[in-house]
Amino acid sequence: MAELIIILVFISLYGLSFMGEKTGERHFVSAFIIHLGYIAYRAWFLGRPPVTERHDILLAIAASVAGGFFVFQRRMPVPSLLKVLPIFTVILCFFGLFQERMDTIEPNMNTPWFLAYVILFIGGYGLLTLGTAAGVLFLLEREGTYELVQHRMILLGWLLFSFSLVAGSVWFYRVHGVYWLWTAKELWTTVTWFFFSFYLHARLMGSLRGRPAALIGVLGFVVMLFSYLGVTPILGSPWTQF
Amino acid sequence: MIKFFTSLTTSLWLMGLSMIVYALGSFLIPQHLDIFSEINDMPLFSWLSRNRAEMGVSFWIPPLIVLMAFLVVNILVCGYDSLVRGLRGGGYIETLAPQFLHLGVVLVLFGHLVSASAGFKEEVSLQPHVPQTVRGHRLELIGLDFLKVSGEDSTRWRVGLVVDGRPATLEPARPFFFDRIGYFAKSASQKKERALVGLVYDPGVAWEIAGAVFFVVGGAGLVLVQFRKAG
Repeated sequence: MAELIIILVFISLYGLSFMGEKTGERHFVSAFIIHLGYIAYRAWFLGRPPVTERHDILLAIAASVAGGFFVFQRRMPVPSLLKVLPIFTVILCFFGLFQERMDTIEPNMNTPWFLAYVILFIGGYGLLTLGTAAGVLFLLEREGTYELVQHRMILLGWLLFSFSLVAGSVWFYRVHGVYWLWTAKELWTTVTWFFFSFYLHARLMGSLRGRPAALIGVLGFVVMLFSYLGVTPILGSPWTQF
Repeated sequence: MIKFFTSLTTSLWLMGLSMIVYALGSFLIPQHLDIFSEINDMPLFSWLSRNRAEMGVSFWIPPLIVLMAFLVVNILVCGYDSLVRGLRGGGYIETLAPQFLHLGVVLVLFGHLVSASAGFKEEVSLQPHVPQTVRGHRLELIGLDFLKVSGEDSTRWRVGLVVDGRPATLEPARPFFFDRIGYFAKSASQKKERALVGLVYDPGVAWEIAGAVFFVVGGAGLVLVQFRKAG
């Protein structure tokens, strides 16, 4: 119960981040600190990095979105990103909140390759989400900086996501002797990878540069979320803990 | 023809069509699990030839292979073109990093093609000190240990195995490789004193690893370029 309240507190604070620039940023920082505290608590409770089930992974992605924002602010300040970013952190936290918690781990997941896979995946999805937020802002306000931020975030996010697929394939091969399966889940992971590759190449084309490419990048978030959360319940792919 | 393959529009069409076909496959596989149940247990081409009668639901796989083949040609032609133009203008990392990445994708796809053409997967249930010969290799289970690790939801097991006179220890996610065959600890039963060991020969893996290395090196180069631009 206490855990639920803590999660609801930081979700609410993320939600309140829309209130003006200064107040909003203060709420966002508070939410992030409590959010990190919850992740630290989960690590302490489980006795390992909390990255082996969807509840923790979704909350970690949300934290990487918020953390990525602070890191990125130091290199290329875009404070107005807070106008849309909280929507994405709230969505991710909400999805995380409703995932069943297991608190256990399969012996074959207790390996460095699995850890590398999930951490890269979390970072990749976090950056792709940040890129989506910048893309939404570009579509709304037509300010060129947002488009540049979107491209940079999606490129880096796509690379981390690709590296996670490499690490994940190595891990899966070491467990099962195969690095690829013909399942709906794997096919949608491939679709997600191709979708962002499509965006990165579309942006190079004069006729698609600007709003069309930005829109493709934003739609990538829907593909990415469906691939992670929608495939198993909607298409009936085998269930996985992570 | 060269113009067609160096065109970015071609790349986008190929990627777009591939996504549609992959998505179509993702809808068909769960609905026809009876047909697709063995697709992951053998090389893809063997599965396709065994299931010729089921083309009604696997019709999307051959066009997908064709699309991937076109994509490989597209990547190679575009890569060569960019390399020639880019190296003339300097900026080695900026020019080479994307091409390393592209080469990585080509090698991974080639690895998939090799895996789809040859190789085998088998499972054998072993009892302690009862040797069995599988695909010409003599396997003997010499030890089976179980231990409970805190936080893990099933008992961890360790399999002592002798393959053609060579001792090895298998654990979950810790396979043993010998003579191009991988030996994997699939499961074990404490009650029945049995271990299920998987044997896998996949000739595409070496290409996959090479592709992954190229991809990671190219990706790291691109990250470096981005940080230089931002910094």
